[in-house]
Amino acid sequence: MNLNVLIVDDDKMITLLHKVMVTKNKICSDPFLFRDGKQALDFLLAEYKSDERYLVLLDINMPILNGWEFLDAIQSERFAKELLVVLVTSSVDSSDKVKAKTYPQVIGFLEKPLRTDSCNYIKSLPELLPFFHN
Amino acid sequence: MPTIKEDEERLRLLESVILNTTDGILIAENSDSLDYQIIFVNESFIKMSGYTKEEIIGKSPLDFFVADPSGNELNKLKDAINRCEPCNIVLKNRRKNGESYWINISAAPVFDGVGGYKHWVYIQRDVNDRRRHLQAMEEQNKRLKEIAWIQSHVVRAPLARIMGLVDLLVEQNNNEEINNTEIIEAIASSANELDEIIRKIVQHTENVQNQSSQ
Repeated sequence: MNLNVLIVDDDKMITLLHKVMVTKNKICSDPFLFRDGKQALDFLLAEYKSDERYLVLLDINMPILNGWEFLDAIQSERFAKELLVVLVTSSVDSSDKVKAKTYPQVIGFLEKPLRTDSCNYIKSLPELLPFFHN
Repeated sequence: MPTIKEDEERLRLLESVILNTTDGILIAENSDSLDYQIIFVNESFIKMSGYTKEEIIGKSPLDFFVADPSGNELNKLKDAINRCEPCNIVLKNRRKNGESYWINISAAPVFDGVGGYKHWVYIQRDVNDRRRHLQAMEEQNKRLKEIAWIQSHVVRAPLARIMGLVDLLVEQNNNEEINNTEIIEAIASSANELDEIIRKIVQHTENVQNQSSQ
């Protein structure tokens, strides 16, 4: 099964850096880049295929639709159960972790920037392990 | 046996405590069929409440305590009176002129020596300053939390970018074997150091926050 990766961050430089890390570490050869939650949501509404999997690397603080609003918005969509989300923020607050527990899609937390060890962490998450077992 | 004179002196001494304390004191008496009526009020209570001695004597002590919005504190006091048990409550009271102020009330029944409780003593302490102090501290904590948020999110955002870029540069350098690695490593270690400092500040603030909320 194909794993699509969506990188969602309002900092353009960060999306480019994360793209490099995600491709270099062979998580996904061609990730999609979005600068806010609205763009990512619109993409999923239009392009989501039920025979593929989607991993969203989601920033929290963004204009238009921030990370929490994005998570709220997807709950009623047909892909809600299938979507996997890793929160990637400037700083992981303990309060954010508590809040994230209420969203079943959130499977992990990372601090910016993504580095090789953060990519290894993503690949080791139980939900994603099947895609990287080679 | 103490002499009458010694007894009188001792009583005068005890009375001076009630008269001179900055705490407001009420003594109420249960006169047969009637509810508790105030039979004594000290100068501090008169000053605090804004009522005159004449307005206070003969009334029920409860007439001088305004219920908090939930009514919980005053109900606690009423329950205690019914059960003849001492009680300690904090509530926002109102002076005669309408001005509100925070008080702590300790109320205690006085055993009459023959199996009953004929009197209640109410001691009212002005805790306005303490309350204001507490509110100022809460406000300060809130601001501290905001600072921590700015530290962790806003300040760290460009730093995260630097760290990512340096990672990339190191990578390219290794590939092309250009020898300015030392400089880049110095940038990387500075960025990491800054990262550590911010983390420590955030951690410290969270600790303060947790301690104050316990």
